[in-house]
Amino acid sequence: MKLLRFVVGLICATLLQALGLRFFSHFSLVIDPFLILVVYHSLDSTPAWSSIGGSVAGLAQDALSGGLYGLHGFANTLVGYASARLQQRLVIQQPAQVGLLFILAAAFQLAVLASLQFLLVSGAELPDLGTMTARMISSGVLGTALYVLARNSRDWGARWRARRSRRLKI
Amino acid sequence: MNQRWNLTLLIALLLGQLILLSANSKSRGSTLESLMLGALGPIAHTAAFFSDGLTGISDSFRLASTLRKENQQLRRELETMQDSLVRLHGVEEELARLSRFSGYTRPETGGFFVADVVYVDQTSWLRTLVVYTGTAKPRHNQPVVTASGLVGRIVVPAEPYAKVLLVTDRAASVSAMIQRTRRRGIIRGGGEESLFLDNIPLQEAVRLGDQVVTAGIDGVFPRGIPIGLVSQVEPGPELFHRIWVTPHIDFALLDQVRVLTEEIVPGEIKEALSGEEGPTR
Repeated sequence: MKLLRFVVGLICATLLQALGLRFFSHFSLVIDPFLILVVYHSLDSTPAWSSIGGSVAGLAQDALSGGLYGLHGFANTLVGYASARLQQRLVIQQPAQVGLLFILAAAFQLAVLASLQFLLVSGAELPDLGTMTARMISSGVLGTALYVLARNSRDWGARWRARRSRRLKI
Repeated sequence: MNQRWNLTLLIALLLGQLILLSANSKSRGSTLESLMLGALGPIAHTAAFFSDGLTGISDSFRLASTLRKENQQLRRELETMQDSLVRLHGVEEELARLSRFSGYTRPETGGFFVADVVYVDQTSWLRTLVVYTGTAKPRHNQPVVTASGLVGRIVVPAEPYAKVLLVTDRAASVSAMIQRTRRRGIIRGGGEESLFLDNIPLQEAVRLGDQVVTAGIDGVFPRGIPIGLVSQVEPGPELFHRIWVTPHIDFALLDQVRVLTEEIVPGEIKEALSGEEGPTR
């Protein structure tokens, strides 16, 4: 079930990125749906599964983007592992905490990407501070919204099932 | 035990990615990249299909009033083009006659196939373009152009999709020349939708608005494809100008491109010359 959810998430992230770029050419600079998927997946996964998820999502993102193949793969593997470890240690459940986790994950991913670019690509072009801030904030806001939406829909589903079973008993 | 397993897996994954990174910095796109692109291509294609449908509906309402005016303008342009075509036919015949007289044989200009742009990201720090080639088989290093000029070259063929390295990418370089003076240099991607023309000596008179075209000596791009116009010239370090070139293509508006099918230098000759096929990525 978790695997299916991840695959659906990956398809949705690709669709969102492709659609977003069609309507807003700076979409990929300020929003990273693949990162949101990786961190969201790590919220209820083990570090091992989160690293694998990060790796797959990163390689998928690399297939659609230019530059060296494996840049996002490497960065998202680390992000997946780190956020799952953090989630295990701190038991992050409040929306504000989740938002902070997404912001930290975005900052960490940008730092890893920038370091890799700096080390591997001569004359690498790095995004400016404003873009990086926008990306971190958008990750925080969208990640929290996704988390709250998923939690509410789960609660709503549980209430609906309970109501239904009560009616069936009557 | 569990933590050790987690760490071992993480290290194995990171090592795998590092191997991928080091491998593809030397060679063309990996098989894994082609497979991923082949799997994700249809999703990007679906997104392109939906967005084209949406913009098509809104455009049909918006453009209804301007169609008559545009039609008249296009008719006028067609007449001008037909005049130019007649003149060019004359020039072509004259050129053929002169070529026969001097014993010169022009290289084949070759054909092309049209590909749909399904994914374009020209603003992020990793510029990219994914095209759908349909039944045509894309090859590594095939030039990608439009009627306006050069777009880039194919770096990852994943039939029926292909990833294109844009000419504005910092990793891209193309042998080019200033059309007016025939002085050759190298066009390098400058990011931010700009290009630099390097290796043009200071004694060369470069003017703003000079047309820059491909030189046809890099074994990838045929000669004479328009690249852009000189937009700024400054004396650079050492003995060369620092020249900014504005590309003819607006990459945000690309929806179809042409992929040239003719190999400028046959693969066997390239292999014999360098021991490898063409330039690396």
